[in-house]
Amino acid sequence: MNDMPSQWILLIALFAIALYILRAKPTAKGQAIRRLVLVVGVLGGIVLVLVPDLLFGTATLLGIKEGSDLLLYLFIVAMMFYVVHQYRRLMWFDKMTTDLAREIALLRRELDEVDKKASQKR
Amino acid sequence: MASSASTSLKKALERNSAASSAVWNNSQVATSTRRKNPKNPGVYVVVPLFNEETVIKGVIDTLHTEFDQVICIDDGSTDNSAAIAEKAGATVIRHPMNLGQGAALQTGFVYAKRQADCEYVVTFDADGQHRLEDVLDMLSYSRRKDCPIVFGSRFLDKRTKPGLKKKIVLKVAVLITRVVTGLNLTDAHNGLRVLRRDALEHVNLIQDRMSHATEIVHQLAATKMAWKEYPVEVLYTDYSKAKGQSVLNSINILFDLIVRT
Repeated sequence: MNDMPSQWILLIALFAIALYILRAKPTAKGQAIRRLVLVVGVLGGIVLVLVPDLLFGTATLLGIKEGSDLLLYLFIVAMMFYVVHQYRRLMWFDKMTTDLAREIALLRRELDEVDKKASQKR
Repeated sequence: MASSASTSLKKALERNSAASSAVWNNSQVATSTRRKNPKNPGVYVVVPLFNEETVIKGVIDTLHTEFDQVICIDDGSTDNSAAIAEKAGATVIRHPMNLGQGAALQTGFVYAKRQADCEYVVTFDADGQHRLEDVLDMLSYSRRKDCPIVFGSRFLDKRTKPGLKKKIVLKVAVLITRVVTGLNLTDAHNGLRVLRRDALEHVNLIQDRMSHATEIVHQLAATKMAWKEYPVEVLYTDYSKAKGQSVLNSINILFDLIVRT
C-alpha cells in the first residue's frame, strides 16, 4: 500500500460497517448521526453539481485518479451502511413482533382459563 | 317418512348428547383423580408444537401418565395439531403465527415462570423422539444431586444410532456450542432438558429459530450453576428422520449468535 489516503479512508469505512452489524440497539445518537450524514450528503451533492471541478480536486487530494471513481466509492460505502442498517432494523422489528405475539398467546390462554373458571362456577 | 326421519335424527342427537356428557363426566373424573393424586406437581413439561398432528396425541398421552402439567406451545401449526393437543388434555398456548421453535420454548418458559407452583421445567420434543423414562431419570438426578441444569445427550452411550450425515451435523453443532459457550457438551441439539426454576430465571431466548439450542446453553453457562449431561436415547423414527438440519445451518447458528439484537 503506497500513500493513498483514500485507501485508509475506505478501510476505516468498511471496518465501521462491520462494527455496525455487531452493534446492539438503535439509539437516538445513531439516528442523529445518520440524519447529519444525510444533510451533509445532500449539501455536498448540491455543491458538486454547481462546481464539478471540486470533485476532481478532492479525488486528486485523496489519491484517486478520477472524480467518478471517488463518487463510486462513496456510493458503495453509503449503500453498504444502508443495507446493514436496514438489516439491523428488521432484526429489531422481528424481536418486537415475537414479543408481541408471545404476549397475545399468553393473554389468550389467560382469558381461556378465566372463562373456564367462570363456567365451572355456574 | 318425514316423521321417521325426524325421530331417527332426534335419537341420533340424544345419543350424541349422551356421549358428550359421558365425555364430560370422564374428564371431570380425570381432573378429580388428578387433584387427589397429583403426578409430579410443580413440573411443567413444555412441548413446542408445529405440524405434528400424526404423533402429538401419543406424546401427550405418554407424558400425562407421569405429569399433570403438559404445556403445548402451538407455533402456528397449519394442520390440526393444536386441536388434537387440546383434546388430549394438554394446556395449549397458541402463537398467532409461526415464530420458530426458540420462540415457542421461550413462550412456554414465560408461562411456567408465571405459575406460582412451578419448580421445574422439562423441554420435550413433540415428534416423539424422546423417552419418558429419560425425563424421570433426569428429574430424579436433579433432585438427588441438587443439580439445577440437566441436559439430555444421545452421545454418552451407544444406544442411539444416528446416520452418518446426522452425526456430522450434530458434531459441527457441538463444536460451535463449545466454542461459543465454553461448556463441554457432547450433544448440543437435544430437545430434552430439565431446568430448575432458579436456572430458568436466567433464560431469556431471543433467537426465534434453530439457534436457540446454542443460546440456551450459552445463557445457562453464564449462571455458573452446576450442570450435568445425562445419557438419553433418541428414537429415530422414519418420521423424525425425514426432518433434521443441514450442515450449512450451523453457519446460520454461528452468525445468529455473533450478530444479536
